[in-house]
Amino acid sequence: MAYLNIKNLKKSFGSTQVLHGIDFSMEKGEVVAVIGASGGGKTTFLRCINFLEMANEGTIEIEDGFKFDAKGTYTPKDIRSMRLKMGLVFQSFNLFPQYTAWQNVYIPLQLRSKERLKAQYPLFKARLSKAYREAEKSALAENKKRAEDLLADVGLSDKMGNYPCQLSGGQQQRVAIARALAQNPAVLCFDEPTSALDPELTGEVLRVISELKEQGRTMLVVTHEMEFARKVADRVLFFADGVIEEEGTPEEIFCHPKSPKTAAFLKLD
Amino acid sequence: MSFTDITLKLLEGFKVSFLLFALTLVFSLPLGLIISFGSMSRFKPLSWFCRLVVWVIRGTPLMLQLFAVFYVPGLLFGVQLFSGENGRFTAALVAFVFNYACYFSEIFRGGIQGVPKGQYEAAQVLGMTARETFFTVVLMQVVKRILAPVSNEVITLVKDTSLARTIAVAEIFFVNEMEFLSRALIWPLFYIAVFFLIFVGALTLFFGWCEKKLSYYRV
Repeated sequence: MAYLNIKNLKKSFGSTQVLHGIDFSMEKGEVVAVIGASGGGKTTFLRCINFLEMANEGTIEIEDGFKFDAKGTYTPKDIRSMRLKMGLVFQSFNLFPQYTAWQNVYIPLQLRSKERLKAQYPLFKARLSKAYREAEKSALAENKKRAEDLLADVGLSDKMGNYPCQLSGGQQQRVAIARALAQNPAVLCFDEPTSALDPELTGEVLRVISELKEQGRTMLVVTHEMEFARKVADRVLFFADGVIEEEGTPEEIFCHPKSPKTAAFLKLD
Repeated sequence: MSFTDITLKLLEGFKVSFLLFALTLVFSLPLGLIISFGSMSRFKPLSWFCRLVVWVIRGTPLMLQLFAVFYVPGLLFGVQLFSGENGRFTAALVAFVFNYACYFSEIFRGGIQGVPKGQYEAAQVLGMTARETFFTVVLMQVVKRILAPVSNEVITLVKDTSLARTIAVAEIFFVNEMEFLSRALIWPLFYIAVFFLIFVGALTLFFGWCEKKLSYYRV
């Protein structure tokens, strides 16, 4: 079985069906670019696999992670634990404005560590023990270090104390990438990560994504940057009208598209 | 009567005004938050009920509400709810708390609903619970958004305390009437303005300071 397996994923909003049964799988370490015209369902697809929208039909499965079936019922806790296996970087960054770059990465990490610790020490009395306090302290130090390392990885060691409003769009997006990586997701998704950026700032973000590929990250990138898709992606999906119209290597899609829709889209671009 | 005596006497009345102001804030801010959650509730009957209450309270004069709280329990049910030494003050406090809670609830609702959806979604994909999202992500952004409208309400409240005079609470205007107006001494009535100006001035400085404290981030 592949690393990420999606079968017959369908999603409608009211009477409008946006995803008409998506079948898709990807291997560990693979980078897949998703291209297509607006309204083709790319973003809805990402939102469904991050559980920001609940699919109406189909299954989403991660090897050794979880299996989601739209027919099943899930508690908020189940959904949270599935979300943590996936990461999502937004088009509009969505950093928390009241926290510094470092806090943006550290705080979500710390919240999850605390939850895990509390699960280990369910009794209030146990949390007064020395062992609990020691564990809490070491988790804190670990998270602190991890947030620093992640920001260093995206080249922002010198901006850790800055608030989002003091950072450029490219820097904000790099913080958002570090924040998404903090949970060590099985699959990291990007929803048009450079669309909100000035042209001169897209390069730094795309560079970070390329570096992540070298580190072996499994990534699913919705993008309008055809050059980037061609160079970095192992595989390209072309979405049109809620189905995967065509998929193949960048070479196949960009140079020898089989579907007339793909050809028309790429020419328009 | 010397200027100092008059000042001290008025200050006594202003103390009651201040107490009414402070206690109203202490109770109406949390109550406002509860009402705002109620009116945003997905449980429709609760949300309708909260919106109905807000409509009635915001739609009728505060003075009328003071009369209603103080007199209606006695008139309708024959119970003297607000008797004793502090009865009138308590009645005024109840009316003020409900009135201001309704105004605050609408400010809070606007502030909470004004937080971009992306903030909630970012918190969700990071695995936060609804509670964590509210307290670690949303709350401080709401505080910043509502600071200006809340400071407006708070300053209005300082002056609205004078309405308590209508049910004979011994606040500054009532004291003035009993002590000075009744002796045809007119100027202390206008001297009262100084008390309000100084207090509102202090509040203005305080809110300016808060705004500065929160200026390190943009929402």
